[in-house]
Amino acid sequence: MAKTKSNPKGFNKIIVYGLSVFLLIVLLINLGIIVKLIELRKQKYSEIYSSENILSEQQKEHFDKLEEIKLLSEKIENIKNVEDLTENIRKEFFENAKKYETMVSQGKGSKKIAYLTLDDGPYNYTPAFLDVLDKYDILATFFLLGKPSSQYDATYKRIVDSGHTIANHTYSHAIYSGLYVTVDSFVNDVLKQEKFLLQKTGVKTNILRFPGGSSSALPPYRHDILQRLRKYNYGYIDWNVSSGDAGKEPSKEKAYNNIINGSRNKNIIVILMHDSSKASLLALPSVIETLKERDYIFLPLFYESSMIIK
Amino acid sequence: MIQSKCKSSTPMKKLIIYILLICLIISFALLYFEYTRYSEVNNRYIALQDEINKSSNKLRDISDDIAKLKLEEETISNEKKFQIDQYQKWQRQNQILKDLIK
Repeated sequence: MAKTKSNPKGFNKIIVYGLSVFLLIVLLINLGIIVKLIELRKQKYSEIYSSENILSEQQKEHFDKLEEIKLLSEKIENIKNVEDLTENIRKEFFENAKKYETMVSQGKGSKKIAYLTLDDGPYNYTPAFLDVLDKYDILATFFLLGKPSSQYDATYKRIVDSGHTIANHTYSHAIYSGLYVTVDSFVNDVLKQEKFLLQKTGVKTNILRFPGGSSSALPPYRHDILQRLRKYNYGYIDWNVSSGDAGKEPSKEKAYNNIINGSRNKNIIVILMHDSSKASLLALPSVIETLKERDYIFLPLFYESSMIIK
Repeated sequence: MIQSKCKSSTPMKKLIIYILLICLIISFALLYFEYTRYSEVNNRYIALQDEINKSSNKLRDISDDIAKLKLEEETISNEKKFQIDQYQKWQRQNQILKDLIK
């Protein structure tokens, strides 16, 4: 009886110990898993931190690239519309030129103004004059004649393309053979040249220089010529400084001195040169440099300029 | 004496088993709690990785777009080089006047 009683007790004891050990093992395993999970969570946190940094960098890069796309698109759009932009800035330039000319005539500007004008072109030297102007990055005014020969086509085009002002110097320049004989002969010659220039360059000009100067239009026609020109919205301009190359060809030094001496005490100068003069061509670089040193800026003529007589 | 010892050890064993059981239940609760937290963090990590992948793909697409735009810009710049030079010339000239008017 005692044996049968002791057996269940021993069995119970084994079960109790077994259960305790089992519970203890499960508990330890649980704790191990919890510790591992905490470690993994910490590791994930650190990975999340790195990922967030990567994402933040990517977002910054994304933003920068979008900005780059925006700039590039704007640039492409601007290039596509470059002709319009050029026209706008050209208009703004002449508005500013008018403002500055007014300042200078009131004695306010820090620099004086030089309007460099070249008559009778295009000529064989015209491309060389253009090279000099390009080199010094300055704009001038070309009072052009009607030269239908195709050899000058490229020169007409280059003058316009370089941004210089194109102006009318009559088609024929026939001072001594009929130009000033009647009002009609003169005005028709001017209008013929206007049409010719429009056809050759695509530019319609309303700035005129009388061949030989406005004094060549003598009374009794002078008044009527000017009235007719006004009807066609023309303005004209003479000059107040000349290289002296209209008649006999001067030396390079003489052409230079004529301009530099002629510019003294003048805030606004209109320089006359001729495309046909080698002396003027050779003197031009020194003229530009000296006038720049003497605080002149070079501007192309424009209709609204106070120097254009309307 | 022996009987009383046996009697006193039985509740002790029970107590230990109860304590162990309670500890086990608590440990399961903790395990569940910790696993939930880990899952949340892991899900966040996976979501972030997904976001990074998407962002990388987007960046690659944008880089392709930029390359196309650059090529287009280069082509159009070459085509309109003369007009661009003209524009820059007027811009330079205008800037000179603007500075003088200031």
